[in-house]
Amino acid sequence: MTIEAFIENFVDSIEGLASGSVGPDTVMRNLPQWDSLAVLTTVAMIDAEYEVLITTNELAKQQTVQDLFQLVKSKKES
Amino acid sequence: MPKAHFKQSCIRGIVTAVPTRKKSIDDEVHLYGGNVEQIERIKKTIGLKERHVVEAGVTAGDLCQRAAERLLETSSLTREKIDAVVLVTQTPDYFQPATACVLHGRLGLKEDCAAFDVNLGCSGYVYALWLAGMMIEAGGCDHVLVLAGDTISRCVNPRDRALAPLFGDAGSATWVARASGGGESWFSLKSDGQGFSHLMVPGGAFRHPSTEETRREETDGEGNVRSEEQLRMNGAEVFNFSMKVEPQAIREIVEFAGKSMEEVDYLVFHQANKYILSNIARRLRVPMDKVPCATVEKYGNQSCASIPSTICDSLGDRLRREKLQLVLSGFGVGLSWASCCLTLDRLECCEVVCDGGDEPQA
Repeated sequence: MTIEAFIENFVDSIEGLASGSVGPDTVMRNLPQWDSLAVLTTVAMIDAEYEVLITTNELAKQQTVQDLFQLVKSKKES
Repeated sequence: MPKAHFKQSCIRGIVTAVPTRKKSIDDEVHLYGGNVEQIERIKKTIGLKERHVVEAGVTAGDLCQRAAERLLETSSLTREKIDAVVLVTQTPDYFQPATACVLHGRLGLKEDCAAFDVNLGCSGYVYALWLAGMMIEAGGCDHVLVLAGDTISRCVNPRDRALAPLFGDAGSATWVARASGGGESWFSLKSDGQGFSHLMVPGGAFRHPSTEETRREETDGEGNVRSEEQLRMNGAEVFNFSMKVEPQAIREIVEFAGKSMEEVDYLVFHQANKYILSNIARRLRVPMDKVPCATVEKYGNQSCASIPSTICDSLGDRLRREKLQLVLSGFGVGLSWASCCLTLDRLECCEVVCDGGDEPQA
């Protein structure tokens, strides 16, 4: 899995988020679209695309998109 | 798991009645905090547009009565033939008696007729078909009238954007009859009572009887308003539950029926919302053209009536002329879920009537 594809999936999973507006260093909670629905659709995307289950608590602890990518990657490999 | 394989019962006709009155989330942005962009995102993600809701005082019993009368008008079923009425609702006319008994009277049915309610929601239609199948297989009944209806719009606070824009009202009538041949169906029924609090109305019944306290409106951390006597849902939990149990339940019922996914023409799910249905389909690797989901944008989440409503609205024309292999599956409040695999073959009637719910019938 690559960070580029992950960012693409991340953008796809959140309605109203424009591609190009998100990079590895984007802080998720600073996005205007980041609300409880975005949290849910992100968790669902990770489950469907990577077959990794993360809790909303685990997601809340991640700062940047890169942090989230690393978490998913480490869970997938373990 | 509880499973059943029936060989002697089949569905002969289905009618769904929805109220005339329509509401749209677009007209209600002011009720949900006024954040236009957020409402737009919610609309697109979940797939919300319009919903049909009853006028004040109209009950699920009224809608089911309208559906049953239309079924009797447009099929060869007569009042004298009906041996049992099974009514599924969480929004009964009264605490007592059962709405099935009230409708037995209002429809003018014979005395030799069983009538009772089933208190289930999203899974309730499949449960009621299972009951009807057992009643026929056991030998006592030839014709069972399954009524499934809810007016969940009357359980939500109009200023609760987590719930109010989702729900529509409907009542349905399904005729299940002894089959002379070829009426095979397969059922599986499941529950997880430990999750009961994820979707519930906590106050107003006998655990927490109605008081000033239970009627008081409170605002939660997200700005949604509700009282203890109104519906509340933990959306994330219900979503996770759906993703955990539904793909598995569908694989199991198709296997139990000895069929392949390719042999199934349509998967008709409880119409929770488009987002949930597309996520289930994605996990099952089933194309979306096999999963009807147009009714939720049109009518709203109709609780126990959503499966018959979707069969009537999306497949009605074809089902009056031809035979289709369907899997039906309902999941939600309880937590409870149920699936069945059955064939519907040239139904005598299969339609939605949009003229119910304008005024109380009793």
